[in-house]
Amino acid sequence: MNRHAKRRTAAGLGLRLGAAGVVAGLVLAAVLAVPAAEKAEKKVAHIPGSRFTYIHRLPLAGPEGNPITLKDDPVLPFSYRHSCTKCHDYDVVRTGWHFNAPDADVPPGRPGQPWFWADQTTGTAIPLSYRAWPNCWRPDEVGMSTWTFVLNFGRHLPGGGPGEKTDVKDKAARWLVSGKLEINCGSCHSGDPAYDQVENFLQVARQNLMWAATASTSLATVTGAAAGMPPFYDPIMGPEDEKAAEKAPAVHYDASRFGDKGAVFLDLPSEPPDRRCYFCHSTAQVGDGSPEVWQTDEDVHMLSGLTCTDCHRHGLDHNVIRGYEGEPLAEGKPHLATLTCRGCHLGDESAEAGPHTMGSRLGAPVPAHVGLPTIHLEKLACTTCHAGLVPGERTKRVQTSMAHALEFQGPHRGRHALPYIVEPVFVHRDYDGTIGPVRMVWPAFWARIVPGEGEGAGDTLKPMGPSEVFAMAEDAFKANYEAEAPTKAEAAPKPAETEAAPAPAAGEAAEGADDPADAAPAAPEAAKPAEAEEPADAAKAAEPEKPAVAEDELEGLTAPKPNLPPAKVKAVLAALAAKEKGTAFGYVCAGRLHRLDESGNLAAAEHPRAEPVSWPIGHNVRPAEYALGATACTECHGFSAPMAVGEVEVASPAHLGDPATEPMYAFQGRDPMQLKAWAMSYLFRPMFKVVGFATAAVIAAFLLAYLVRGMVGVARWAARKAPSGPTV
Amino acid sequence: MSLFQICSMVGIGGAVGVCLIHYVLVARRMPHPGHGQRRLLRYNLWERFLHVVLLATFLVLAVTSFWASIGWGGPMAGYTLMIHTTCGAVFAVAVAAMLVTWAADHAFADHDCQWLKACGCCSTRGDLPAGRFNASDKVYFWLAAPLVLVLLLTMLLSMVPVLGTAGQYLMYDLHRWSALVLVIATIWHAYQTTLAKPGGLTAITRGRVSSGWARRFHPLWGARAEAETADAGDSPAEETSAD
Repeated sequence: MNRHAKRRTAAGLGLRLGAAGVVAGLVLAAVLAVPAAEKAEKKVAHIPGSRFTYIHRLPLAGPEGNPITLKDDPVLPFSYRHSCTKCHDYDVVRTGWHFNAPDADVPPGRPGQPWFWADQTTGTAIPLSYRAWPNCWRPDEVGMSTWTFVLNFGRHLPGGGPGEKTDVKDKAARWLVSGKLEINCGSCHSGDPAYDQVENFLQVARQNLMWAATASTSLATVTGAAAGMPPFYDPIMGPEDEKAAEKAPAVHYDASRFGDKGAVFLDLPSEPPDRRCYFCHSTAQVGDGSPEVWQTDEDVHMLSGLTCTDCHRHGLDHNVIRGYEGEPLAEGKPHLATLTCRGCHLGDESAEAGPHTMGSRLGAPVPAHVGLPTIHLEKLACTTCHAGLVPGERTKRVQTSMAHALEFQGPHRGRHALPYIVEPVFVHRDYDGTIGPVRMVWPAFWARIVPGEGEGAGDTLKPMGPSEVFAMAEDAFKANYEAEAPTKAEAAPKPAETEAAPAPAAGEAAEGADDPADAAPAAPEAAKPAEAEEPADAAKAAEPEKPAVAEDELEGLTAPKPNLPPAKVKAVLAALAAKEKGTAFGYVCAGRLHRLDESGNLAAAEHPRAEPVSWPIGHNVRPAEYALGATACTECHGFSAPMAVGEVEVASPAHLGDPATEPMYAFQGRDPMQLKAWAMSYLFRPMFKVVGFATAAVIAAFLLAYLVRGMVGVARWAARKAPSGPTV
Repeated sequence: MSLFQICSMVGIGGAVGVCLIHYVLVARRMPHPGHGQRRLLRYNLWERFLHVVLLATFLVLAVTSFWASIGWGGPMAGYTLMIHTTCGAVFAVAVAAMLVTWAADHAFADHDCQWLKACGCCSTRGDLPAGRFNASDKVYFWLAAPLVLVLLLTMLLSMVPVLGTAGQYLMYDLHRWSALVLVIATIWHAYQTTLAKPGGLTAITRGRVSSGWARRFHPLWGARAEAETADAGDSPAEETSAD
């Protein structure tokens, strides 16, 4: 029996223990294990070699590898894992970037965008990542199990990773009822216009993890909700009676899509369409004066006809090339190393020979960079001048798909939705030693403070989830602090009871689905965060400022502005301390840790875990004419150059007397005096050039004059030395 | 380590080494020129000022640039770059003034061929024909002037929107390789005019040399200068140990 068969046996055993007893389970598992083991041996070596896209007309396999037929009872959802693994080794696929985050053996790599555990009421925005990125917390460090993680962020997960980490101890987990959230190949690869990733989220919201991939295709619809089923429900066996069948998840395949031999066509091109990437990787500017998405342009590469996967390629291992210089995956491989800005446009000098040294890969224009001293190409990332929002005096706020669920509508949306992401911030990036643009978030969370042991040891923070802190200090959160903002205490939205984020909260939607039969049509409503029962009142109460016109129209329907005046923060900290005597509590925001001093006042101090989290900006790339410095050197070297002296907003849900901005140069390790001196030199630069060229002209004139004089001298000398001709 | 770093270290180190060897094998064995009867004006105040400016700016330029090149193999940045470019402008103007001031004196003459043929640098005789400047000085002068022109133009052209990346790299390479050649040549020139020619440093700082020094190292100029001094009615100067 191979490894997979053993796993299936174990899984089957577990499922059957509750329903049919130990003995029956063992027998059944053994019976199921044998055909599964035989199937595993019938793999076909998948040897690539053609650009032809295979037509994926294939028999579907269920969660345990058994073939799907319409006559099954119950009819099970298909599994990409078991349907595709005949040609595509699932165990190789799952090593890809989109799935391997929880694997502790995988190096963290270049920092990327973390997930954010965010909540408006408690002013929480905790950066989470399974990867050891700077200033991020591992979900388990903040008490978030893989189950809770999947329910919170399953909206933008392509499956796999934490969705298959079912061995983590968590009493609230219901993996046996929900099944695993296996890799959903369609999330990225589906070429079917009717493929619906939103439906994928709705299924996650109902805890229909095993059904999510099937429901998001146009092949089937799924009704019912695993969330409404008892903890001993076995989805493989199906409901025991008709009453249970009304609530239980059920798949309804489109019979017309099944061929004579039970095969169905799945439109799965090897290169994912851009619209699939955009679902998780979109960014929108928010705030006063921000243009709407339709007013803005796409990345210049997309407008030129390229696709995401032209640069961000991968093989079966799904280790997508991220496209930054020095990427370990591309080391020593010119075909990959030149899939960077510089590699494509300028070529890779390290390539020994051939076209990769020349640039212009994929037809990329070789940039002229006229008048740009080469030091810029060494000290700056290409994206510094070419990507992200054009910098102004102050950073702008943006929202992203992963952080703000831009693909979904609901009360989680709006310009006040946490986390507050600002861009562009030009920082010195440790991983490549250049100055480059990043998006930045200042973490905000309540935490227990564990005093450091030993002299000089700093305090350790233990972040608290929003529902935990709300439960411990509910009265303080509901109290009215008129001095700061008129608040209706009753209207203060409750955080999710299962610690779900205010973005489409799968956990709450699922648990609220009492009637699974009604769950499907009610899903969009159910997807609303549970805490936003009175969003209109909440928003009115917590919004002291007059929002933009567009926001006015949506007032009450969008995320309320966090309302955390100093008095409330003090009250919450006092309430927490009263609930848990002997423990110190603090609130991290604006880059500092705030705690109550002996006299009961707020005291702020710097703390390493309060430092902002940031990740590099790769897109959108602007046309060359829109690059920084395209019009004048002083765009970056002037006295008020945003890149050097721009203000980085210290965006925080609470304003506790912390600095509202930080200067940009502080993130670059640059000396402001030096920047001023450098800017001043540009005042004299025109004169400098005039004097320089005049001097060069004088030197050249003298050299030329003496060269002529020397040549004449040499000619005379040669004439003297030349033998004289015969005299006549 | 880049090729330029290696060449810089080898070139500058080699130049210093050659000077040391020359000093041990040649300069130390050279007989003292003697003090002579008169004090001759070799450099007037303007020339001395010019020399000091050239020397100071050149030192700053060389240190700032090769500190960066040899130190971390990269281009200058920050204050170093600002100091370098500022001094570079002063140096360029000084070089132009140098040309105006000394170009005529550095014109090659027939006797320079004799000096070169006799390998004046390696000769301990010291009485090879030389005018105000010997052939070695002239070779350096006419080498340094175009090198400075290259240095100046490569810098200026990189500051105006004329050249693209390839051109910028070419300018940068030309600039640093020219600078390296100039630094090596200058080390040799500085040595030749000071340590290898006892009394030369005093000539630069104080402007005057003894007639003995002039007869030894620049006999043609010395004879002319002595005659001019005598015509002017100057009495023989007191001998000083400095010369």
